[in-house]
Amino acid sequence: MGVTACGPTITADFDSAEPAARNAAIVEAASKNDQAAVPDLVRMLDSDDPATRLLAINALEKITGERLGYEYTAPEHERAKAADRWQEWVHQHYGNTAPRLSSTPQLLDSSTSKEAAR
Amino acid sequence: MTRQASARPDLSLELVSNPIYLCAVREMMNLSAKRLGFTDAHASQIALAVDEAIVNVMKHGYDKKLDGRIWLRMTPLAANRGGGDAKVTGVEIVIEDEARQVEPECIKGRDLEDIRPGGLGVHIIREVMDEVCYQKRPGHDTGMRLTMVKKQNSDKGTATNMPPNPCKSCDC
Repeated sequence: MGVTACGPTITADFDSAEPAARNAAIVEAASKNDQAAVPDLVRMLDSDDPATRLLAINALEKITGERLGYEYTAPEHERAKAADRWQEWVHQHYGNTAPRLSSTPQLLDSSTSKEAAR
Repeated sequence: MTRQASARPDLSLELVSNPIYLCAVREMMNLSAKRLGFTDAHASQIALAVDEAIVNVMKHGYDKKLDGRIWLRMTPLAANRGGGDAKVTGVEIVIEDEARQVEPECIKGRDLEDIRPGGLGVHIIREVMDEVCYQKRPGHDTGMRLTMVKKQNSDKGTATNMPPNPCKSCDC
């Protein structure tokens, strides 16, 4: 499924190296109230891209009704604590089927690659 | 509060529109804000807003051209407590460029209900800063000026969809 905005069609994909594709996946999950996407949305909270974090926490709030104290603008160490709370929440609600952050592929938007993409 | 924006800024920086300098600008703004007494959270928000603003200039103003000029000025805002003693109550940040001019009213943060990728930089800036003002660079045929204010006691950035107060520096 793609999202058409101005410009070319974007293919929604949580695991894409392209921030726009990940953001499209978040938007799609939110629009469908996709409960199954919650673990992926929680992974997105760890993104270096503030737009991705903003979309992800808003999508999580829309789907679950929770924010768990996560602020997408907070310093990294504070975001990490809140992201851990989200990981616990996922394990409580989804059990062991949900991937842990440490066992999932690292997002490819390190500050270097993000800036290169810009 | 005493506005010192027309006075000489404490910090002034000129850079080219090359993203390799974004990290250094973020760190400088974050550390400077902390030294001025902002909390870690507020300093992070200031750095985030400046980063998004400069990225917007690079991407949309200069169309990713790497040699455009960007100017950044930071001026602490102070409240005089008498006896010449001034307490920093906020900071004003001005970013200017020589890119193409657009009508300031066309620069809007997208409504998050209209969720789609891209174009969230202005939304983020307006969400975390207390005052945000876009205007054409005064006295020039090219370039835009963005003036942003963050106050020490700001509660911006902790809830979504909180519009900033009107800018007191211009008529926008």
